[in-house]
Amino acid sequence: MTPAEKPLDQPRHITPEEEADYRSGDATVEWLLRQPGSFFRPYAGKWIAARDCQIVAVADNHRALMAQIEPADWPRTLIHRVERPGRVIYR
Amino acid sequence: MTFTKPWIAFPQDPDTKVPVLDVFLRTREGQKTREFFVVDSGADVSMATRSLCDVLGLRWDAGTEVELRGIVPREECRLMARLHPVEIYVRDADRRFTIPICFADSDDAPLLLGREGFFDAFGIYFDKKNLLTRFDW
Repeated sequence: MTPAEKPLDQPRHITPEEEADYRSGDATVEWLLRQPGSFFRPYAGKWIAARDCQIVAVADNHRALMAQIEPADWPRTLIHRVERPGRVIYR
Repeated sequence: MTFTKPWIAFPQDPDTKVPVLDVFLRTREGQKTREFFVVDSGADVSMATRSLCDVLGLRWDAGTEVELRGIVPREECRLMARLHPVEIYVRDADRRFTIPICFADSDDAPLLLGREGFFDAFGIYFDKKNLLTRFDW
């Protein structure tokens, strides 16, 4: 990696509105991480959107999922691709 | 400085979990989107979908051309991708930085945080016993 390609660590510039969105989303992140495998079973192979600790949209791919969500809601919405059953090696 | 992140469950088995991190990316409208990425030390570079490339307002064709191949070296397993530098924000560390992301020509590619750039920014320890990832910086 050349110096120009090194990660550029920058100071944050977060507005109060952004902070409110982040905090709202934090709870949803923690909620989704607490869910057992059985919770994700109906969504295997799908893309899901979670907001306010509930699933708000499901689609077959990222584009179709994003089309279901109002852009204004994106910062508070968590996007997740649920894997299909089986062992996964990303190559 | 350090933070830890629990792994997320796979659908088939409650004991199978995968390391993830939620990352913010700035969209073409100036909004942000928050997406779970798999933290993948085996990936040379981070990966995302072509749809996400569009959401970020990046012109897919303008990126550096990359060819992705599967384990089986068949032509039908070949997938074109484009590499773009992308600014990400990691809320848990309150850090934003730019990493290269390879956008596959597919809207169903896994979102991966690979070594180039991301693993330069953090020391990453996979705690399989406790199903946690620790990020140091």
